[in-house]
Parts: sequence; structure tokens; C-alpha cells
Amino acid sequence: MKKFALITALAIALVACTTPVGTQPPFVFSEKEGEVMLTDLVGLDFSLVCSIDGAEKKCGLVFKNFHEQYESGYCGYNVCSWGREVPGFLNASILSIQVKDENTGEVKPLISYFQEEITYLKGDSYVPSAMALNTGAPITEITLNGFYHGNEWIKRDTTIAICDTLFADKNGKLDFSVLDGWGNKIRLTMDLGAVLKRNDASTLDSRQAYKNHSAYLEFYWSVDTGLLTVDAIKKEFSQYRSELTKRDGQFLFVSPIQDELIRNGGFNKNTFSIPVVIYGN
Amino acid sequence: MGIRIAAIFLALLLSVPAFSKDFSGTFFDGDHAFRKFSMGAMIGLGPSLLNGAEDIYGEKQTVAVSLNFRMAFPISKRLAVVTDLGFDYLSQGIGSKYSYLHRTVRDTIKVSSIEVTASLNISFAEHFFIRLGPSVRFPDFDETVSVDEVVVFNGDPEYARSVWLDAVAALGAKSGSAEFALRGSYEFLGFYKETPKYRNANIHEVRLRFCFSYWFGQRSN
Repeated sequence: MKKFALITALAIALVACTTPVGTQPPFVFSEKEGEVMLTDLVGLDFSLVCSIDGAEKKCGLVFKNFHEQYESGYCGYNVCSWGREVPGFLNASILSIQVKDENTGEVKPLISYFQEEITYLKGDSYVPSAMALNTGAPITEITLNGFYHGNEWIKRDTTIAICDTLFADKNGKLDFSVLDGWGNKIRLTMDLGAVLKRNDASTLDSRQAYKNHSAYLEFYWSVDTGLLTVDAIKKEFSQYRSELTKRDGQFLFVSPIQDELIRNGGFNKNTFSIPVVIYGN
Repeated sequence: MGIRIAAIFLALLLSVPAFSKDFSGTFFDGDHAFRKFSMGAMIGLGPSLLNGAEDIYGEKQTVAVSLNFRMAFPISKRLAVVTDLGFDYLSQGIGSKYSYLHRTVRDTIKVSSIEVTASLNISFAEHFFIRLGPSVRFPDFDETVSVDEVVVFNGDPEYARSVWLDAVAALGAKSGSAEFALRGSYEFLGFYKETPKYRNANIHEVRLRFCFSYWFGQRSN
């Protein structure tokens, strides 16, 4: 009986050692180096947002995050865990990735349009202390002590206002390019004029949304079929630094617009909703 | 503002000997702790509770050590003013480990402070005394924030206060040169100052120190 118990225990121990136990990290960092090119990234995620301030209505884009790359992780016992790969900038800077508003010609770093969290960048003075994280007001700017130009790190304090929005012009035309310091470029144009014309404070709808485990009321506009027109994305990628980035992916993703519409252009064939921020009363 | 309040308190306490008068026949004319001006040294060890820190750092208890040079100015047979000059060091510090953008951030804070205490010593039995008074500390913060073991900040945080004010109370026994005391204090100005950026940073330190003092030249007392 004792032998049986011992063998059973050993068998359980062996199985325990070979079965993937515990939780796989939900992501893997893909650390970039030096000056980051657009082609070092899998893609960029933007979001459409609108706002109402009294009688004024505006729509625009904010930068949500870097597109995740899904990679197969560890497989065992017919179970494969998939790790999300996200870019890290501990040894790199993305300051040379810029967004150009083609309506106005204004050029700003991509991170100006980040809304919530700032990825830790090389030379970034902002890594929140426990105090800043728990009692500080939300940050509205970050200071970098330099940037890459090619492979050379140039030390120069640079403060960038963040949480910005790339607004469409008064006719609702949104036209912008994302560029890097190496000549790669991607351009997207869309017409939100009909959305702005059709909607105002009276067409607002609301729903329950969740953030950081707390519920809040999110306001939105429903966009009917055919109201949004998008020109097909124009991608001019000429310089590739690694094989990894030689892909024909879409690169720019704009939530909640369907990927197909961004790729091929046209008008929206489905209804969707755009979150609306209300300022003032 | 904090410095001014502290300076006024300190000046008031140090001026107490000037108001000394004849206490003969009163309660203060009994046994004595100090008959003449004396000097001594003190070492203290004990916990500090940083009340309010648990909301920010997740912990509030730490251990500290203090070293002081002391002087006693007798006023009457039972009364004396004892001043201490030394330093107090939150040797263990407080810290926090959290994840920021999926990276591990460690934030540790150690504080060493120069401390000046002026307290009124009241002997109420042959060897026992209580001591009450304010203490002023000039803290030096050492905060280290590291991301994945890479130190990204080391220095004085902008939200640290440059002067602390404590209310100190001690209970102890003195026999000859040796003195044991249990010393407690409450820091009421605020460990961190509240700035427009950092609101509700309301941390107050409660200290408890087990102290041993040695007074020189007490045999001739």
C-alpha cells in the first residue's frame, strides 16, 4: 500500500512538472532599439472621438496604443498559450514618429495623441512614483531628455504635451499622415461632415461602460449607413530594418471603423457608434 | 511657514530657563534629576508608523534608529529643560512594488533627518520622569524609483516637506548616569506637503523609540 501511494505521488509530481501550470504572462515585450521606424511596429491603433461644447461639435482622432502582435507561445498537452507581443521602448525612442495634420500642415509627435498611459521611453523622466500613481493628477505632458537621430542619442530636454486630439476641419474632413524619420509614411483621409451635420446634443445616446472596475455613463452618437466616407489608406513604406516588418498589413487601425473600410475606402455599410465627450452644460 | 512655526516653538522652549524662580516648598522642590548643567548621549530604536502611507505605498510600518547629543539645563529640583541634537533615520524605509505598463516598478523611500528637540523634564518620583516638548526635524529624503531594476529616479521628491514638527512625550527612569526612556512622538505638519499636483498626501508619522541615554559626570550630582 505504501509503495502504491509512493508511486502515485511520484506520478502526480511528474505530471505536475510537465504540465504547464500557472498563468502564462499575458504579453511579451518586444524591445525596440535606437530610433524607431514605423516598420519596427506592427501597427498603430487610433480611436474616433467626438465632443460637444455648447453649440460647438467636433470630431477627431486620438492615439490609443501600439497594435499588438500575437505570437504562439508554449504548447504542451494539446494546450497552446498565446502571448501578446507589445513593443517596449526601454532602449529606444519613438519621438521621430510624427503625425502630420494634412489640413493644417501641423506636425506633432505621435505620443502627443496618447490618451492614458505613456509607455516608458528612453530618456523619459516620467515613471510614476507610488505617490504620483496614487495621488497625482493625471499627467498632461512628458519630458524626454533626448531623442535618437539615426543611431545617435542627442541630449536635449524636450517636453511634449500629451492627451491631444487630432481634430477634423470645420467641414468634418480628417486628413493626416504618420511619418518617421526614415521617410516611411502612411496617410488616411476620411469625411466626418455628414456625421457632424446629422448629430448634435439631441441625438446623444448613453450606455453603461466600465473603466478600472468602476461603471460610468458613456455618451455616443450612432452613425447610420453611408454617413462616413473613407479614402483607401496610402502606405509608402520604403525602408525596412528587419524581415519582421516586411508585411502588407493594414498598419493603421481606427476604432470603431471596420478594417476593410480603412483598407479599401468607400462608405460605411454598417451602423456604428462614436463616443462623445460633453464639455460644459 | 513650517520653519517659522518651528523656530518660534524652539525659541519659546529654550527661553524657559530664563523664567526659572525659586520653587522651594512646592511640588517641584523634591527629588531631582539634574542638579547642574549636564551633557549626555542617547541611542534609540523603534518602530515608526506612517499613518496614511498605506493608501499610497501599501504599507506604513518601518523601523528607525536615532542618535542624539543631549544637554540638560536644571530649573529647579524637579524641573529641567533637556535639549537633544541628533538624527533620526528610517533605516528600513517604506516602499512599494507595482506594475506600470506591464513593467515592475519599485519605489523605496528612506528618510534621515537632523532633529532638534527641546523638552521639559519633570521628575515625579525618585527616579522617574516625564518629558514633554516639541521637536523640529530637517529631513533628507532618498527616494529611488526603478523600472525592471533600472534606476530612473533617485533623489529628493518634489512633494517632500523640508521641515517636520513633532510633539514629543517621553516616560522614563534615570539612575545615576544611565537613563531608559520610552519616547513617543507625533509628526503633525505632514510628512509630505500637499501640492496642487499631489492632493491628499496626508501622511503623519507616529514614532515610538526605546531609548538609552548616558549622562556624563552624574556622580557628583
